[in-house]
Amino acid sequence: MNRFDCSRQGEDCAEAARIARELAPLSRPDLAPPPFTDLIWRAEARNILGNRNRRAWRAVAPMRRFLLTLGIVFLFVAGFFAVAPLIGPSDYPGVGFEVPLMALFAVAGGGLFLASGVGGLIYTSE
Amino acid sequence: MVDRGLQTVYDEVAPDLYAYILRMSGNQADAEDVLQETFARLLGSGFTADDTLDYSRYLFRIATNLMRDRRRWSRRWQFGKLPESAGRAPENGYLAGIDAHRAMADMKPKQRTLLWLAYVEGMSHKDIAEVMGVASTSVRVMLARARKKLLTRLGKEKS
Repeated sequence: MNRFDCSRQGEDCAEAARIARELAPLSRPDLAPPPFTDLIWRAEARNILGNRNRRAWRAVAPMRRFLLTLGIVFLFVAGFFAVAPLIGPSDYPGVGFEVPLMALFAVAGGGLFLASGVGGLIYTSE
Repeated sequence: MVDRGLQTVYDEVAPDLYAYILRMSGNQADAEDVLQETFARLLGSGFTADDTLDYSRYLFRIATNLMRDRRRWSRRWQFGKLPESAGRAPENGYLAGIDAHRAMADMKPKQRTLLWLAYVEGMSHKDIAEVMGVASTSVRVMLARARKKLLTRLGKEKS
């Protein structure tokens, strides 16, 4: 790399020289870069892992992905109904439908998870 | 299999590039990640070993962009903060550069990059503009401001 030519760049050479002198101790590498082969292995490992994760998600059929997402949402709703009486006011009497709704969403969410899993089994056995 | 052409470029550019990334990030793990990603991107851009091409500018540009992206989400980045294993002995120039180190740590990341590329790497305004993705005329102005600020800080450190 070309050394900085202050006169050609139209800079104050004394100022430039002083800064270069001040920064010189910082420019000395404290640590050597990792060996090239290490770098390649690291990149290779990350590439393989990254691709595997991406491939795994892409391999999930769109319907399965939809069922899985809906299942997660339902389970969250069930979780909300489960904790609602706990986080509500202390004198909250409850309206009586939290438990049935929680059960309903939990069963639906679990069912969607199962459906997605069974779908996956059929998909991969094809 | 190791690509000999890429290894040659690595051997030539990596020491300076790594020192630059290490100083700008202050974090060895992040510096290694950025270095790796920089060379991965070079490889991904259809790299062919060509002796007539100067890869260093291109690599510095990739590294600068990667660091800019990472700095956005990483608050732990701090100029020159190095692990204990790093050479901090006076003979390694650590004490000699302590004023400059403090002054640089006080600068904005963009100004640090400018100063480093100009006065450590010795790049011309045109090269710096290319690496940082700004206009060459802007480099002159930004560098003048950064220089003035650094000298003021250095003056304060010394007094």
